[in-house]
Amino acid sequence: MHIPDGFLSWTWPIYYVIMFVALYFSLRWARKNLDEKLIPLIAVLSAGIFAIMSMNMPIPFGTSGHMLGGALVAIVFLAPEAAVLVLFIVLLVQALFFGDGGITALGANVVNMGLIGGAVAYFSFRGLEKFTGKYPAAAIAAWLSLFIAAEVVAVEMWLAGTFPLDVGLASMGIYHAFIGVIEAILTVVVLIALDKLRPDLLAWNRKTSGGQKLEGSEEVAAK
Amino acid sequence: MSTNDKYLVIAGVIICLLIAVMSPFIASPDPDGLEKSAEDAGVPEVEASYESPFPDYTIEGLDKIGEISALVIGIIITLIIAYIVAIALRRRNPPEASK
Repeated sequence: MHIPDGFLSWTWPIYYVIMFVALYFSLRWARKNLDEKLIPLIAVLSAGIFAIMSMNMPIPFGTSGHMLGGALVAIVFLAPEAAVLVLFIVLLVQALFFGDGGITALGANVVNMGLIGGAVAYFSFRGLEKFTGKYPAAAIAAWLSLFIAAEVVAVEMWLAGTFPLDVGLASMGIYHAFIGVIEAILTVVVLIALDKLRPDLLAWNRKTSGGQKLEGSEEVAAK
Repeated sequence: MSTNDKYLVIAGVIICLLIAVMSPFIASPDPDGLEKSAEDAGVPEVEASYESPFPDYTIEGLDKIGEISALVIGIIITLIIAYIVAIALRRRNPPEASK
């Protein structure tokens, strides 16, 4: 769902402003929570998300889609701020070097995939995990994050005068309901692998030791 | 970096490279959800105003090898930038202050 240049008309600076505000919170989160051993994880997740975004999988209606990864990052770190940071890096590289997503649309792309994708995943995961268990919660959170991000793109396209609202919501919704299944499966696969191989890297295994992680996430929840 | 972290980076890079090698052959060439929605809404395709070095993950005249190389270059750039950003933003307070 990378928005190209031109699709946002005059509205693109709005999303740059939101992106910079979100990045400010990411920076604060990093200063507080990003310790030495999480640095390689940030790097590997960024590179992995860059790579997996090239793997477009076929879905019905002659359309294709790929994983976004915002949900994965938000759940691994239990912080939507981390998703904003990682998606910002990936989308910046894609826009600058590969023409994937416009330069003027970078703000909107980071807001949609990083901020909305990450926040929807984080809050739905947090809300669901008590009832469904971790992995089903992660799957639903990942599906929701992609679906809602897609519908937000439809609204943005309508604000910019690019799509009519009804066609945008219907098309984006139908295609991304399928792409969301890919997002859900891959998110859960990576979480299971990390939990088996490096449980120490997952925030859900760390949050009970020491109040620091909890303090950070409550602060976000309060906003 | 601890040995475990080295394994994480090595395993991560190997997975990324596998994706880069397979992707040009098996990735679907169909338009993505947003492009298809634009078609549904009858929006004309826009010409990119900015000329990126590897448009659409290709290197001119190199076909599949070019696509693989573009992805590998992208993976390495992303890994390095993310590493540098993470080091720059990492937690600053000394361990005793964080308790």
